[in-house]
Amino acid sequence: MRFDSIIIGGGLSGLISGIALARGGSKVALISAGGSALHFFSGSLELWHEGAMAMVPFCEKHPSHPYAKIDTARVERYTTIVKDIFARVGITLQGSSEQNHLRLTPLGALKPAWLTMEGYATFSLGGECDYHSVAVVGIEGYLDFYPEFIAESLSNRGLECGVYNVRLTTLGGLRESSTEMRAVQLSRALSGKTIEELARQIAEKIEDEEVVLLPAIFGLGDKDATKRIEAVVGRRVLVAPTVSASVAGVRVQKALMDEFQRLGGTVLNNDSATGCRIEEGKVVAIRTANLEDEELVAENYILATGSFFGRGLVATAEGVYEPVVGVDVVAPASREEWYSKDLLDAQPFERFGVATDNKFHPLLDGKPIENLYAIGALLAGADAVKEGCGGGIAVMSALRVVEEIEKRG
Amino acid sequence: MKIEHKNISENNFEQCTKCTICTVYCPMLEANPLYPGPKQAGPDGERYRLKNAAYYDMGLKYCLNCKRCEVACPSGVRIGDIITLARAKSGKSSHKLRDAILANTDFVGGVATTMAPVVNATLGLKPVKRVMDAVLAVDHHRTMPKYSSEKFTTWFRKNAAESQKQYAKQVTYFHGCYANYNYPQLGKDLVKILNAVGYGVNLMEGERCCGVAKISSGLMEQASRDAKRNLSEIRKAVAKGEEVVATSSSCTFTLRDEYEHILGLDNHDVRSSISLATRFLYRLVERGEVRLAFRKDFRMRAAYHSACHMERGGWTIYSTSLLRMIEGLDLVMLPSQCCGIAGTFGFKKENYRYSQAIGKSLFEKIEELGVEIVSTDCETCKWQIEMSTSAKVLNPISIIAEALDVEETRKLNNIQLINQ
Repeated sequence: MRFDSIIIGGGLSGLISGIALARGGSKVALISAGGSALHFFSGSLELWHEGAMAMVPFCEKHPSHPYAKIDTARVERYTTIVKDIFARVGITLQGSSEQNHLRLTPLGALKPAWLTMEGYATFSLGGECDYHSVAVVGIEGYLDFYPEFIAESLSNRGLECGVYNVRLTTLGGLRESSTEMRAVQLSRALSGKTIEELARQIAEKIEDEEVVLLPAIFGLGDKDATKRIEAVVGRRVLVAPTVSASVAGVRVQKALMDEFQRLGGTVLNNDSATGCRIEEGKVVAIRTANLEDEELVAENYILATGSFFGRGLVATAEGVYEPVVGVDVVAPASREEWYSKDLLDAQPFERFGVATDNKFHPLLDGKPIENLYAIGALLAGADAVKEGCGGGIAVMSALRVVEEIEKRG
Repeated sequence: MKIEHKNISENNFEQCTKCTICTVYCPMLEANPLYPGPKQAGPDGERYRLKNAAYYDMGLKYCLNCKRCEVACPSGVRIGDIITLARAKSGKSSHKLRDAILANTDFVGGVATTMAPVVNATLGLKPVKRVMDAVLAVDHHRTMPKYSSEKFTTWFRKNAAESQKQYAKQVTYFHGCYANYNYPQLGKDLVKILNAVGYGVNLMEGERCCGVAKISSGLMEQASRDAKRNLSEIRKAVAKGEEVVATSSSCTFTLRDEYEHILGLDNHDVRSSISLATRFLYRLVERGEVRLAFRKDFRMRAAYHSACHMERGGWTIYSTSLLRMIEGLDLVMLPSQCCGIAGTFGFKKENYRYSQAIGKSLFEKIEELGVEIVSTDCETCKWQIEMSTSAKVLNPISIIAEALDVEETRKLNNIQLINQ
């Protein structure tokens, strides 16, 4: 089978590059092996913990960081493209590359963010919002949301908070199996009568708080759930992220995958690239687990296989390697240097990844492969946790590579 | 490397990172709160069951074995296999006779085809359905699939076997129970296509049921017996240099994967020679070895439904790529989801409502699209969709056979028959 481009990986970076290439009229195939880390999406994408302005001096000092390979002048334009891609699948992202805002974590901490889905509670960098009091509402039996933690965190920032719990009798069977009462299952069950019951109970219980804050458990069943609750309680309803798998993640994953296919992209679901054929410094074909001896052929290949979770990197007793092509990996040989003993410290393994040149061509024995690209979490040099940059690198590197492929024609 | 190899168990349950992504895609979890869900029923529960079999949860009977959890798993855990094996070890059915009748598709089919008109008429009668519901716990909403009065194999022997020898190239067809007992036309359609592109078709000597229904009902010994017989016949075909093709996605999946993963039979020597018919055909076309010509006057609008085992096998791309070669066919893709039947699962009385709840959004989508034809490679999906929507369901092979311009195709492929 022949394509213009083949993308290996169905997470955020793979999907964004696939959609961007398909929009430009390319014939694209995307190989996806299992659910991606997008399922843990908080509803917010991060660009850089200290804001876009701080990226310029940082990149000058750290030339091997993925952002140093993307001219920061491109950031604003790429931000517009990402917002547009999401808008076309019906998801509004708020925020800009000019300045970060703050978003909530499931435990109530505030973290810097770049773009956040509409409907999620956000705050200015100084921690301000346009309301003074919040009713934080949990749902009895649902264990992945902690209203007290969130209320404590918001109280510390000067907001008046009330904590309430509602007990839904119309949830029916979902309550019988508490281990399966998760955000996604709740979201699918929340429609019709259940939403009415939830809204009525909130209206009865809360006092005069201006805003109602609920866990992000809406949108997979009744798409207008929060609007219907707002209509009953007569207050603004916002949501806070939950522990994974998240409703936002499932929604974004499906929406982007559908969009890619709508644009004519071919998806090889539940398949994984198992190896490739390289001739004269170029990839000429790849093989997959399902297609067995049949090769997939393209002009360009993009590795968007993720880090350890996505199995883009594999760690064994002997070292860390990249399993599809076997390109050079930046990781120390000694396991002692892989991790720090304090769990909350910066962990060296976070920066492990594939070595590339300045155009994201991975290196094989030190030499770039000219029609192969690496994007997203697979790239070496970034600590997505400490630098707050995972989503930003996924999106920026994807769009940078698409620009390069389109330029080469 | 050696260290890792020793810490990976047979069904790799310890590779689970507890990410819960599988629970998002389990169709049963959504429909039935009594089902503990793939994570709990699979790798989580396995940890306990290994310590003590008493931890077995009867809720595992609700697993459809659709494998959508395995498709979703980022860590490659064979969740469906873990559940099926646990069920085979510890699960007990309260309807043994019913399960045996539903699972022994070949034995029951063999008896039923000999009396097809009587059987079909009787099984369709309301009082009979009520009795089956009450005595056998086969839900009365279901009509048992119609049996053909002439088996495919009988038709083949009488009308086709002799002429197959005239073709220079040969392929072996695993027809399965459905094409043999219920819908011989599917087998005839495949023979028509393969003959048109220059392939003669052979059948295996004494083909047995692939065993998919026996495996899901926990009848492992019977399934293994049939599987061993099939594997030995497949080996004979492969030794002659023939590929083995099947028109059913579930038969193909069972022969290739379940024989090894569930029944523990080594099939690695022949696995890559067993192929879904659309894959075999597509690859011939892609390699430029055969060409297909379609009737200019053929017009059809159809929606393609990816059966669960098609998704697991990764073969959807072959069926849809092949169908897209037909100029007169307007093909739309249905969202990839389980239709709820899962083989014999949906026929069982206790499962009927879950079965329909799982497929509901798919049925609505089909009606919304207003298509008269749905295409799928799975026969039980066909029964479910035909029962639950106004659409008629055809295997891609049947659509291709209908659209094929046989004369033109024979000419394009320059078919030279070998004189006997």
